[in-house]
Amino acid sequence: MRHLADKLEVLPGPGLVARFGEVTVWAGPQASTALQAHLVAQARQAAQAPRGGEQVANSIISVLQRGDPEPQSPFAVVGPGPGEALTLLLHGPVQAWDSGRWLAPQPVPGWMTAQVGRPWPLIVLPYGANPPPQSQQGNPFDLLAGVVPGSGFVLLRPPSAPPPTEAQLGVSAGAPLGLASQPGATAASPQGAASTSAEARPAAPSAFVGTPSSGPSPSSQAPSSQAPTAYSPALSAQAGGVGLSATPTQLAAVPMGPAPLDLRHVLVASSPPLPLASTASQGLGQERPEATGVYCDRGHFNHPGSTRCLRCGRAIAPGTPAATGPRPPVGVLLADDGSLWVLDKTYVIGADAASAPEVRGGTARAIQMRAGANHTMAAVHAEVRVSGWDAYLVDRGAEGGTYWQGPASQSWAQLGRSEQRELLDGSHLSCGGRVLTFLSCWPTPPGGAPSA
Amino acid sequence: MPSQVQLRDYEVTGPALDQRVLPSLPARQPARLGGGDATIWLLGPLARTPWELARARLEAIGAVRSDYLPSWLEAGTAEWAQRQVVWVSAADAIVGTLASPPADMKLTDKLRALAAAARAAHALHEHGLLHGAICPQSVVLLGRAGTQAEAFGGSVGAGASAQPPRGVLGPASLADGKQPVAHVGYPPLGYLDPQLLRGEGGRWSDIWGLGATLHQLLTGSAPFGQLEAVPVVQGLAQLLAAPPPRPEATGPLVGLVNACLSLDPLDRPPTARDVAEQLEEGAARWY
Repeated sequence: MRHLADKLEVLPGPGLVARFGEVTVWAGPQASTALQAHLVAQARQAAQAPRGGEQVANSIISVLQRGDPEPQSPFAVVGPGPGEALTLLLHGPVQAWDSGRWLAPQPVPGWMTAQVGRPWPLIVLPYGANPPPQSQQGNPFDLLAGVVPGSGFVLLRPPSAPPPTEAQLGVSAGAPLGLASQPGATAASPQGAASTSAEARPAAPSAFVGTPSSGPSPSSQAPSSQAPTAYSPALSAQAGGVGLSATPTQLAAVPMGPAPLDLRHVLVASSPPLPLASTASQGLGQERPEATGVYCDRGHFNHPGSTRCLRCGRAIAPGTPAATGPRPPVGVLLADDGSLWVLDKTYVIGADAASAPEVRGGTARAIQMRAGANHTMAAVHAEVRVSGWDAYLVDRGAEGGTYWQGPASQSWAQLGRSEQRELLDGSHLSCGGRVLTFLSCWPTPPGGAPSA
Repeated sequence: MPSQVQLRDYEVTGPALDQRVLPSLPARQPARLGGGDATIWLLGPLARTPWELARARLEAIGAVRSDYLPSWLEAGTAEWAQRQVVWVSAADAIVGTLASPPADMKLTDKLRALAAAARAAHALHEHGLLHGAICPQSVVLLGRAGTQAEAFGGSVGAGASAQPPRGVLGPASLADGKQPVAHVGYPPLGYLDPQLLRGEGGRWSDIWGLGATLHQLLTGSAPFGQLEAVPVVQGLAQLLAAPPPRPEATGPLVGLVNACLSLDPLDRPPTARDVAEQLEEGAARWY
């Protein structure tokens, strides 16, 4: 039975994504022009084949078995396989999320192939890349056919397909980070999300024995910072051109929106120049709350338990007298979409966090987040409260709850209504199916040391 | 409703420009812009950033005019890949970046390109803007493809017209120094100023990025590449605690590298223009 064509969202960044029919290939920037062209040609040839993915994979495997010409070049092939499954071929430093686990050749160089069910989403990324942002339901992004730049891709349920049954649902799309398992990812989901036990998955993947194949399970790892979703293509690049042919006419039609920003004649009121380092510290006192800490020799204010200044690196002698000063940020929050939030004041998390009274009043900032698949995120869902040198997770009584996982724990604990829990370095918090990690740069004070 | 660059307005005229180096597409401007050549630069997604905030930053950055910045035409979001921020500039031949320069590009010319990026950063700073993502990939090289080093190497004959690529500073992040990394655009951890990560960013953060890029040019490796070889949580934790030890650079510009990569912003060169001048002097005298 032929399925409706899966929706394909291309991830920005260096690399090549090509789709013809139901066969999709991705090649990283390290791949040679010849390899990229070969993958595109193979995908084009197999576009209409009933088992086109398997066809392309077998063709490539026959080459690899005679000797891998580019062992370090990452590429992936996805397409129809036997029965209802998809054939997935991964080569080099590339990984795939099949809505249940991470697959990747191990060790690298190497390759692997697997038959997977039709998981949604299926995500293909360079090894260690940041996860893509949460896909927005109903967005028009869909590569129908063609060759475009991209650092990976996400296969999603076809736009007109019936809603997935509980048996077809995997781990929520907000969980592909591997930071920690989502609260909704276990059979005993406190949020009542769909069962994600292995028995419910439509097809158990089987690994083809080639070079060492079975991928790691980076559930305890977070993606590296390579290839951030941000501006700079952080992947290593090699000289040389790429014979791509972007075909915007084959992209999904999109509505004509308002005019873009015209920067040819834009006139913006000039802002004062950025301060020099020698003058930047002036005025900090008005911005930051006061706390008890210690000063280094250069006058930088640090946590009372610090033995080294975080700003200049100078040693702080034991017994340095405590003093009051403007407290620097207590740490950062790393969200599951790769964004970072510096914790210099309280943050409210929610789908419309900007509407929170404390955000409007200026005493807190907003982290606006959409819910993960099959989860709900309240307008104001949770709070990360900064008090002294500490950060606390506070439940705001939203449906779905707020969850906390300690740095050394593998299980989630739900906070009681309006309960607060101290965040230690490496703690995870989750709300609405999204996960954030708290990172502190300050030492845990020994017993008795003041924290405020 | 976010603004959208109407790609159908633009005629994509050829393959992506060395997209392994810089995600970009050559295009022809629509009639409403004059119909000339253009380059569409692709940035990251805007899923987390309110368009209103991004719009203001894009306009502010686009308003800064400098010989060392691209000539921006438009900015918006690309509808075909997760609301990417898209910049459009008047076309210049992109021949690479400092992360992937032409094979025959001399170190002297790379240093001059980095100096140009430093001057561009200074122009932004004087307008109250932080670039926030300076790294080898963000120093874009413009010029005719196939620049021949021998045509420039010492003896300029009557027929020698080849010029080395010139550098410009590519699109900035949307960082503002206080909440620097919540929005689109931050460099690899190996080029990210720890002070920026702690919400104390400023022009010194771009100076850090310039120093880290210079280190990469002189040694061939990122100064803190080990931060990128581990999961991002570990890399961030390490950067927050203290940048790890880095391979020492050697040569006449090592002092500049060490100064730019000082942990304390007070120990770094005060302005990006100072960095540019030292780079230009070093390139002329020593390389």
